[in-house]
Amino acid sequence: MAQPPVNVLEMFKQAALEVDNRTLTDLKADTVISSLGMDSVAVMELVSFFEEKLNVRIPDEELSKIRTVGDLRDTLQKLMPDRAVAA
Amino acid sequence: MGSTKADIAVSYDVSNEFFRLWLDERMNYTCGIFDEGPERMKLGVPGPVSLEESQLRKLRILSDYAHVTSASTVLDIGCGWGADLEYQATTNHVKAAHGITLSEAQCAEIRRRALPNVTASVCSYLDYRPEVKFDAIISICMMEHIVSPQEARDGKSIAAYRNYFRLAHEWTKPGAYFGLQTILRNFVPRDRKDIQDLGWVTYEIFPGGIVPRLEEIIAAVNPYFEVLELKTRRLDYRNTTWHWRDRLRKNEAHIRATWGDKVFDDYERYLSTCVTGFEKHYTSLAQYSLKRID
Ligand SMILES: C[S@@+](CC[C@H](N)C(=O)[O-])C[C@H]1O[C@@H](n2cnc3c(N)ncnc32)[C@H](O)[C@@H]1O
Repeated sequence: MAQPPVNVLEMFKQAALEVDNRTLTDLKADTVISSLGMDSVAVMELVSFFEEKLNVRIPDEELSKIRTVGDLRDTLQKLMPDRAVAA
Repeated sequence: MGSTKADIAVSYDVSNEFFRLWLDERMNYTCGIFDEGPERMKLGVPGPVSLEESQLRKLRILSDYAHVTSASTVLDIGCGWGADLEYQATTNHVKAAHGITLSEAQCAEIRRRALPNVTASVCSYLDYRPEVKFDAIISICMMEHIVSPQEARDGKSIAAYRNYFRLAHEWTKPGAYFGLQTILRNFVPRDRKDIQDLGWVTYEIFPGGIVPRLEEIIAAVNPYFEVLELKTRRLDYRNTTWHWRDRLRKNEAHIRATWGDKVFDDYERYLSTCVTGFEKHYTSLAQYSLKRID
């Protein structure tokens, strides 16, 4: 059975709440992650939230290339080619 | 530009007496070499090789990697409190050794030791312009200060490391060798506590710097140096930091009374993070013998 599509925007909001106690309202695909005011440690925790929930591992050398929420979506889509990933 | 002079003061100028309490007697603030075989190294408590002996072994290896003889003039980039300079002067009996550090407190300690044929200055490698060229270079865990976390995220690491090797090339004679040691960033932890601890060490204990990745160093040496030998020493650094934490704990009451609870608690957390980081492969250590490409 096909797995349900992944909604990166919704998951991102959930992760921000969980790891950094932040409520993000105006999140879009082109939102630059560093502009959200989270420090890099929190961003790393957020990435591991996605990895854990989706059971994937983003290679370390890809991590530094992720600037926007859309970049995160693209990276996850590459790791899960059989699943719809939207942002 | 990596760690500034003010950043370096945070890392190294707590007090020379404080560091003397938990480092080895010559105050090496880098990985020693125990070489006790994989079984021994895995045990919780390190084997019979003392911290003092491990540091001498390290200095012997790096001197060999740099082909140091009594006829050599040696530059130590990021010389700390002068343990290697002391080794060059009193064991290798070199013709001359010069050290640069960004820490005033460290330079004061080196001058206090009044070592034969040794000079030292407070100077960044970026500003250093030696009058004569050296036969050999040793640099022990200084590259960790060259690039800031933000610069690393912006993709500037390799260019900055290459500039360091370019300068080292400029400061040496044809035929020179370079004994290099660096910590390595192997992979980013995913465990939440480990992410926070490693992030905290990076930002609070060693502000302005980030540990290099092996592939960055390998890319950056060219076209200035050739890697002749390379050996990783992850468990040796695990044992070194274990010894440091053990000595720190044995001096807990004195440290709390003299420098306050925060200093003790911070250093205990930092050293525990290091022990875990080496055990879990987040970080490792590498020693390199480099030959100048003439
Ligand atoms: C971890 S300590 C190692 C000290 C010594 N090599 C040892 O083995 O104990 C790093 C050293 O690099 C020095 N350092 C950091 N940035 C520097 C810079 N830009 N120029 C020169 N030295 C620097 C620090 O002052 C410190 O002495």
